[in-house]
Amino acid sequence: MRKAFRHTGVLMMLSVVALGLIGAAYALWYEDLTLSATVSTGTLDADLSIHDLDTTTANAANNTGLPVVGLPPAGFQGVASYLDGPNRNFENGASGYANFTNTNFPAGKPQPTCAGGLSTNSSAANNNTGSNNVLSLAMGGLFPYAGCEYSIDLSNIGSVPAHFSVTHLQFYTCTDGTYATCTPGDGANAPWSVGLDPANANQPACAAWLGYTFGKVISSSNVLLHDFNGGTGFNTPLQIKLGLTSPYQPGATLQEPANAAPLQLHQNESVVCNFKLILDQNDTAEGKFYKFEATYKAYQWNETP
Amino acid sequence: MKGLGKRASFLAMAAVVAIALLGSAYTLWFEDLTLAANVSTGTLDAQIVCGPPVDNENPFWFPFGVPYANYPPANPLKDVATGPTSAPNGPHEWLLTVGNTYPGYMAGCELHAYNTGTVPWHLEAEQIVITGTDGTSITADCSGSFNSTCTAGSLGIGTNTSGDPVYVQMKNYEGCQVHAPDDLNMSIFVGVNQIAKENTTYTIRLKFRLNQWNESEWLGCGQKKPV
Repeated sequence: MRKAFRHTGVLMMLSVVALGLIGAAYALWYEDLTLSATVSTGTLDADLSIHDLDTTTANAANNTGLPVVGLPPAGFQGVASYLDGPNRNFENGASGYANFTNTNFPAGKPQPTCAGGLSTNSSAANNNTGSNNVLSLAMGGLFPYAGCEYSIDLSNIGSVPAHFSVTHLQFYTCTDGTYATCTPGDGANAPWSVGLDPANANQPACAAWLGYTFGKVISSSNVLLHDFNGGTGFNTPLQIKLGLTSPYQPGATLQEPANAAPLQLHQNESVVCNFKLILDQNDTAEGKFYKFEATYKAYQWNETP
Repeated sequence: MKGLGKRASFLAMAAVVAIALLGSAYTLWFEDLTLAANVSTGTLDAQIVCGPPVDNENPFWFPFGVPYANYPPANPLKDVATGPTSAPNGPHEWLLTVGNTYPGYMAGCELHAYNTGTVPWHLEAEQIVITGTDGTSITADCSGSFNSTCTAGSLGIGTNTSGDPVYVQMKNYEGCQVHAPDDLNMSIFVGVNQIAKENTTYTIRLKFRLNQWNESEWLGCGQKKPV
């Protein structure tokens, strides 16, 4: 019995060793595999900005426009834009846009005020930064054939190409200079004309942007891009009734001409536009206060509505 | 049942999270941009004021030179005319009123035209218009050289059979420019002649058109823009 138990002990020990060997055999031959990924997203960010045009000592503040005035020939009647054209030239014979200058103000003449400023709107969802997204222009003391010249731009400072659309346009008449009590009106009654600088590097884009903003944009070659101001314009009865409907009914695209591709800006691209807003000869516009607002939405290029 | 309840709760929570994730994924990236502008326009405005009126019934009146000497004070001095009174009739009109006048009477005042707006203007289209209930109608356009005399009617008391019933004189200031709040001033003279009818009202209107500086036909006093 004692011998028999001695064999059993050996067998037990052998079993333990065997089991250990079996375990080692099962642990061999394996591979560890890892798939790791990092994802960064682009940015969609558009800004408005304004360039200081008036560098005179008297108006050295930043972000200001330049007061300009035209000197129409005696007896001239009509909206300011009609000064452009073969039969509507100013007395100096220059083209329409160039006729409105700051140097036309004789020394000592009071000039309109042409202020401007950038601010930040309340940011919304999805990284709508809001920074520099509001451009405010303040024009004061305008009189017929006098107004302001501004240089403003729309820039894509994000990484994703952006398309722009007009989402709201509204013209108002206000009761006083606080612009607090205002009544929405038909933008066709706005008593001013807007002209684009013929030297703008990207004139079609400027026409698309500012044409839908101010209406009635006349190019230097008498081509009517938008006849907005209630006048008959030159040749085309194309009308933009700013403020009649909002958003502008033809659709949420900022494009020029109609049915063309919407205005698009790639990363670090800007559309810089110089324009002049000139008060028309309008006997109902004396001592009045007007306001207009245009809001745009920048969409990523592949999600444009 | 207890186990199923736990599972249902877990699935519901998962569904909520999934829907929330879907919601944010479907919201487009966008930027809202606003361009706002305020525009105020200036004013073109003026007010006429005619200074303290004088007449030749004043004992201190000294008629020196033309046209004053042509309407000397009565001798002995009379004080029968009513007025003259001078008062505004709205912002753009001033009334000089005299009554019970007679041939040889004269009155005048110093006219000031103030720029009460914001835009400089030029004085244009200066005109004298005389009308009377007796049918008198005289119009004179003051288009002479700067500071020349502009008249309407015949100078001097005259006779019962010739001339005009009233004589009016002022200076030609066409083209003169006035900035706010400055003013332009000139003397106005009105004389009553012998041929004036009794119990008759003569109305004298001095008319001016003011045009903003950059639309005016004038560069300055008496200086028309070259055509």
